[in-house]
Amino acid sequence: MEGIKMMRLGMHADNWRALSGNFMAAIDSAVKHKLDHIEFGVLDGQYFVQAMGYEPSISLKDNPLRIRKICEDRNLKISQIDGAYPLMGFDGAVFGVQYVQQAIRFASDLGCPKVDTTDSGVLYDIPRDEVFKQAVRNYQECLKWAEDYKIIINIEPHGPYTGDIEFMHKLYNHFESKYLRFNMDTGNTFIQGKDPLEFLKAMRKYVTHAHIKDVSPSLAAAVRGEETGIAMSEVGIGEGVNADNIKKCVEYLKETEWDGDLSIECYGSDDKIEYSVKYLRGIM
Amino acid sequence: MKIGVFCLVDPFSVMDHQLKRIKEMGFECADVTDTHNGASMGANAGFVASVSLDSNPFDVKRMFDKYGLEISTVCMHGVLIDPVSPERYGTHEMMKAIKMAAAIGVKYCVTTDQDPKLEWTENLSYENKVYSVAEKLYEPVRLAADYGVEVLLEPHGPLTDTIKGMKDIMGMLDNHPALGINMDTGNSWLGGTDPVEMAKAFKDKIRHIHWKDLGEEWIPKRGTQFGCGFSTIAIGDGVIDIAGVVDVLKDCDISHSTLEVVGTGEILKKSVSYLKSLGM
Repeated sequence: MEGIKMMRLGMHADNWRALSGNFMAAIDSAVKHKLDHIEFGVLDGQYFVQAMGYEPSISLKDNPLRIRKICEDRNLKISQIDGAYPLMGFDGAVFGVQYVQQAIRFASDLGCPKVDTTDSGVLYDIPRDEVFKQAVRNYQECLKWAEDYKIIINIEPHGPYTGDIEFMHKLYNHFESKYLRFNMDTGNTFIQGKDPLEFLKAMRKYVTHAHIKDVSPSLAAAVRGEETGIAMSEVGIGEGVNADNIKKCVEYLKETEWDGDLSIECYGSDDKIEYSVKYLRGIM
Repeated sequence: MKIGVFCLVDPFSVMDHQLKRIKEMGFECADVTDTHNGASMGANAGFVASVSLDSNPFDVKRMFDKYGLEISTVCMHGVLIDPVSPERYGTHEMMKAIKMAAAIGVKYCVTTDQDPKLEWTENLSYENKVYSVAEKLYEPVRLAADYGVEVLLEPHGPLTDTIKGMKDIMGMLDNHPALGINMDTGNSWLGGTDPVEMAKAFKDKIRHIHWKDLGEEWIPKRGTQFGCGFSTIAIGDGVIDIAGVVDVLKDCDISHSTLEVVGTGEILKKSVSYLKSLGM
């Protein structure tokens, strides 16, 4: 309803990656659980596993209008596509920029308003201010396309630079663009050893989309503070040690009248999805 | 009907130069004439007027907007008669061109069969040649329909230079509504067909016209060469029955056409004057 801020619930098709499931498996589950939206990764070219139906991404060579129709026919929105090739370094310049540019074009044709990007777990062997300069160059080229196509580029915390609030604020301040925003990730910030709520508060101004990941006790014990990101949660949302943080983040988003999309990132088995949906609907 | 010109009026120069010259000569529209996958050394170095299909379509539009020029079509002339190869312009390139055209509001994309480059293709049966072309057009035509774009088949090869070949390719694609024709006066004549008869046969399918006229020296080549890139004489100065084609098509709902003529500005202006004198 116009004028009323609201949160919408969906999930990432990547939840089916560990199950060797395909895009349609994710779509069917989203429909079954009456979700508002779906999010999915994009491939630049062809990947035989995906083509054979064992991987949930979509090729940028596919017809975006076909994908759009599949979703529209099922009353599903596409909240974001994931083009998260590590974009901060020189490899980002060589491979990432053109990939994100084509993802922006694809998103526009999908009727999808956002493209997610990130760095990786790699700390580059160059001074931090040099990484910043390279990140500026890379995002500058992507933003040209984003502004033309009116697509938001989100940045997700998944590495040593995107998880650095000071670095990120400097990047946002440099561009001051409504097309450069933030995709919160409860699981990655937690695994980095941070307090997800505090991280969210620091980035709230820029947040348009959020990945909701819980973390199992064993994973937290093994890598918290060591890793900078995890692909998904093997536990359902609310089952792990990050549940309380997720609840606080959702509460905070409500309190601050956030208008955006929450994407579930957990193992795509039906029981985990059902548990996660029920948990999140209970706190949204 | 607006009469524009192709973006190859001066050799060894980039798009910006072509568009500047086209504007200076008083034209209001032009086509995106040369397109390529990925990067082109010549285009980057500044001596080829080709547009990358991977570039930002809005940058392409801005190039035309800078000179107040309308984009009439995006050219995506494949070698559709030959087998698929990464070196050969085909289905993938056409699909990129269609998406580019749609993004910037261009309604038509032009392609063709071309003369076979391989002996293997030359030895194919007629039916297999038709299949080879139609098969490569199948997905692009479906994509074009989704995007509200039309693929226009141009006479520029042994199949498309004939009325039968054109009909057979279109028939194999179920006469899809997103598949039309770009009439080419020079190519159809050079291939051995009467352009007036071709215009009559496809009057309801022709959406755009490439104007070429050819001199008497081309007569011995007629029926042996399929397609020529441009003419070097003004429209009306050659042996092709341009007036007959105009007579058939002048009342059709065709918004734009393109001169494929190289030479001085005077030759281009003379061509426009001739076409206008015929009622175009």
